[in-house]
Amino acid sequence: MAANYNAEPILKVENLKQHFKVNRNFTVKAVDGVSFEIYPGEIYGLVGESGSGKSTIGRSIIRLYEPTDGKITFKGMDITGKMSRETKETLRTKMMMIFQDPMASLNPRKTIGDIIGEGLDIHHMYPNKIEKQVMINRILQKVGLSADHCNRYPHQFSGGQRQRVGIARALIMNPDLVIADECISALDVSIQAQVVNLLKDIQEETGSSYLFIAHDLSMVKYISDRIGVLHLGHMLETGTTEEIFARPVHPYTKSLISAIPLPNPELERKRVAVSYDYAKSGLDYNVGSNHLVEGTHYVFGTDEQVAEWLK
Amino acid sequence: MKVDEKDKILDIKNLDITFHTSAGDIHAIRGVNIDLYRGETVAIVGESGSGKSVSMKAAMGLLDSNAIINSGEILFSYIDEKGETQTVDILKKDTKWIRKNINGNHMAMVFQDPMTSLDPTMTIGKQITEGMISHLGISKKEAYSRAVELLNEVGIVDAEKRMKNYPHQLSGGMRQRVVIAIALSCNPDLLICDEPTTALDVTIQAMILELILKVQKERGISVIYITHDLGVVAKVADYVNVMYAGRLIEIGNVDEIFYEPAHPYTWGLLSAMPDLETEDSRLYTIPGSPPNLIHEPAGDAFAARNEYALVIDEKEQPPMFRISETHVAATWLLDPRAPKIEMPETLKARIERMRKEAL
Amino acid sequence: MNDFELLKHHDIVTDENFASQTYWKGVFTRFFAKKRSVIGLIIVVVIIVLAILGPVLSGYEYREISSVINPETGKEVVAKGLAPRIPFLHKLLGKAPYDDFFADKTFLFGTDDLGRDLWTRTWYGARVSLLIAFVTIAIDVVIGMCYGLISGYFGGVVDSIMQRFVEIANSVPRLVIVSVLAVFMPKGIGLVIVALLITEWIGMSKIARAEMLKIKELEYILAGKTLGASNLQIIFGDVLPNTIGPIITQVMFSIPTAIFTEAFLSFVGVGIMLPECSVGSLIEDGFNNITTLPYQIIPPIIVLALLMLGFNFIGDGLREALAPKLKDM
Repeated sequence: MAANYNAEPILKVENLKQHFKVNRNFTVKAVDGVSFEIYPGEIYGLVGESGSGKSTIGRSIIRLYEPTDGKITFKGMDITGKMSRETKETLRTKMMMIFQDPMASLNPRKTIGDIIGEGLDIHHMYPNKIEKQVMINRILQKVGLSADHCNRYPHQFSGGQRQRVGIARALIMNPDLVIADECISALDVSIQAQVVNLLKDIQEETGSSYLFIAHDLSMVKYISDRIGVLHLGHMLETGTTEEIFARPVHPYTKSLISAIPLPNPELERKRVAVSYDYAKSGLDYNVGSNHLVEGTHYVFGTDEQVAEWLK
Repeated sequence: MKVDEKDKILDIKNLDITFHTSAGDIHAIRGVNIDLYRGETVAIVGESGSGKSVSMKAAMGLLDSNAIINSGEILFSYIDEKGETQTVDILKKDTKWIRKNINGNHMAMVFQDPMTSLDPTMTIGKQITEGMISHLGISKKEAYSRAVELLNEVGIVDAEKRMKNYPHQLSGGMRQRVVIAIALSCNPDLLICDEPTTALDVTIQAMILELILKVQKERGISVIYITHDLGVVAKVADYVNVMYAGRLIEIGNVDEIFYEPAHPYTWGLLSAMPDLETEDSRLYTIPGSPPNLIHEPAGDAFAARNEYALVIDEKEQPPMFRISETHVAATWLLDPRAPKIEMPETLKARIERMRKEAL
Repeated sequence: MNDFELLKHHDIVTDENFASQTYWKGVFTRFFAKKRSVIGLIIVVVIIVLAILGPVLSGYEYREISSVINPETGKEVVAKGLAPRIPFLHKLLGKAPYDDFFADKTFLFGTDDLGRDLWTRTWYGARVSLLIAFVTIAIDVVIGMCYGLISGYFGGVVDSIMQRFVEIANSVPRLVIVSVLAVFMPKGIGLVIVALLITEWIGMSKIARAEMLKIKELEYILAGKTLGASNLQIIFGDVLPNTIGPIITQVMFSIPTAIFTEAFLSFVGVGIMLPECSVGSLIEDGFNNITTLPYQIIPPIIVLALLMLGFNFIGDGLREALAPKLKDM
């Protein structure tokens, strides 16, 4: 399903801050004032290097962390601060997460059936045992596993298969928003493509929204409708995939795009990556504002900087 | 031929390794041949479990105790202190001897995660000079000045200051540079890089690869890359060995592998990578997952996932078919009796486009 | 059929490729692959079997004083301080038979200075010791695990307070606790069990807490949270089953500690009271008579030593079997 940009955004993140206090004198500002929104049926790609805060954003949104500041609205409900019972129920059934490490994201002591059915159990979402089994079998088939895998344990599966189980666990709840946190980076190339195809197929079928968090720009480009580029906890550039790739404005985005390795030896041998060093760039992410480049394409910086980049 | 012999630095012949585990015997390496000449770069490409890391561990003499070497030899040639060329079979030497005479000295390794190869309790300076003092037998002072030089060479600014730092005080990219400096400290003949950039950010990846290329050119050392990232291979390799389920299935120079791939598995690997131009709604994928070598397949290990599999693939392992001087592939599709099957159209179009881009 | 035809392709929509070995089977194979752990297991099993059957087979009660009536004097003669005697063996060796009143009786380990069969008492004592150890460790596992898991899971202030309490509890020497307890409680099994309960759970809670700290950051726990699982569900449903391995290992190391502590308490005289006996009290008895009847101390000491050794071997073997070094492939 194509994204519906006329509707109310399903998720709205406003000025999200997530700080972690390490000790009395030192606080890590993992996320420092990030805003974006995701529309129904949209796949939003969040790109950045390690330490850019992209995974933290995912976890703050799904409330694994208590956001330090800012407001997150999901389906019109404020999910920051203390939540009402009803809000909590919506959050826990309609927003799901797919995790990074297929080795660590499944409980080694539980069968595949128990893992996938956990959400159903917690929220009592089935009338009887048979119905539950039917639901589990249906989702297993959808992710390319067979129903008799139900009684097996995670270590009996390969990495790609486990990631499918992780996906099944999230999708059985029929979520409106799926947060996929680096869900392919631990997989082999051939398996990555399988998982990405699977996610894309299911997204088209169900029309739910995805927040696709990754460091691999080529996959993000392939799967996302819109992209946000994150660095050191700040959103530097956002826009549709075409806008960002056709006309990257921020020097960091440029360096990210130039660094993507291509399977083209002739080209690779000649190409030199554009380097980017925040400390030496003379930029200060704490100063500036979002500037409209075109359409939905925004870049963050001071007036002079943006003018310079757009030249 | 004689000239080749002299320049050959590593010659792995018919290597066959089984691992004895509680779940059963795993036939991890099933007859692998790898040649490497001085100054060249070979990339070994494969998925996890394909045996790419195991074969290089064997070359380093670092195999675990549950490994059984069924056959094969690993001939390594190096230039000793007197300037003479020595050739040894790594498999015939004991670990102690290898550690003393080969590892770090003539053969060095760069691992995926720099933190695992650095000692967190020791300063950078100490870690670099340690090997030089013991392997090269030079004085502390000389080792120190060489270490500073090395750090400058691998692009670390303020080298003198960094010598006093501990690993945790450096960033990931810096650490990997230090690891490379340590690897280079004893003038190795061969550098083995096991996924040297996967743990690093994309922007730093390119720089590290460029650094390795630079020092390789300057020092004339040979490099083996173990990787699953075809982008990395395209950037650095001269020759590519594609490995699947413990065997080499396609060998060729980098242009042959990327522009004229012959094995369906290589087709799959190349197609599965989204390049920035991919517009199709679906990525090409290789179905299924790699075989479990506890149950060794009878015929071609790839047959079960291969949409171009022939009947014979399930009965017999394909031999290596020669395509050109440097290019061989193990697939029955190259047999003269086989139907003429070409690579998928999408891949063909893509290679066409890549060639145009490169011009 | 032509070998060079395209294979009619089977559908590969579902992925059927997997390793099939259960976790516990792997643990099993690894455990039994080690000679030491097998020896440990045999020792412990043999001692447990003897502790159950030994007293039954001997035909004596552990508190029964063997005596016969001297037909000449009509007085009772007690089998005090007899050396080990096995009539059958004696005959086999062609030696002169015993010529006292107990010529037809068998005392495999001899008798103590009151005339009780030491074979019976040794195995009865082993039974008591093992029972005390099992009971206290079982209770300690429950207490220690709950405490450790909760402390580790909630972290922060809760953890700080709970850990300070552990430190305080841990810093008081066991003997001091026992001495204080001995004032309020009658000496005997009860005292020993309470003494063990008060001190042994701490080790257990530390292991449980460490495991919790490790596991609670794993993604499958986070997944449980995003699905809305309650804290209780996460602690006892998700984390607890994953701590079993280290806990079993810890149990194997705690049992010999408990047995030794019990022996020690009985030895210094605050433990098991006569006519009850345990390995420790038997050693004490034997020690008192070491100059006159030196054979008395040997059986209980050997049993104690073998128990300690056996459990430690098993613990070692389990530790390695449960957490194998990943042979990276």
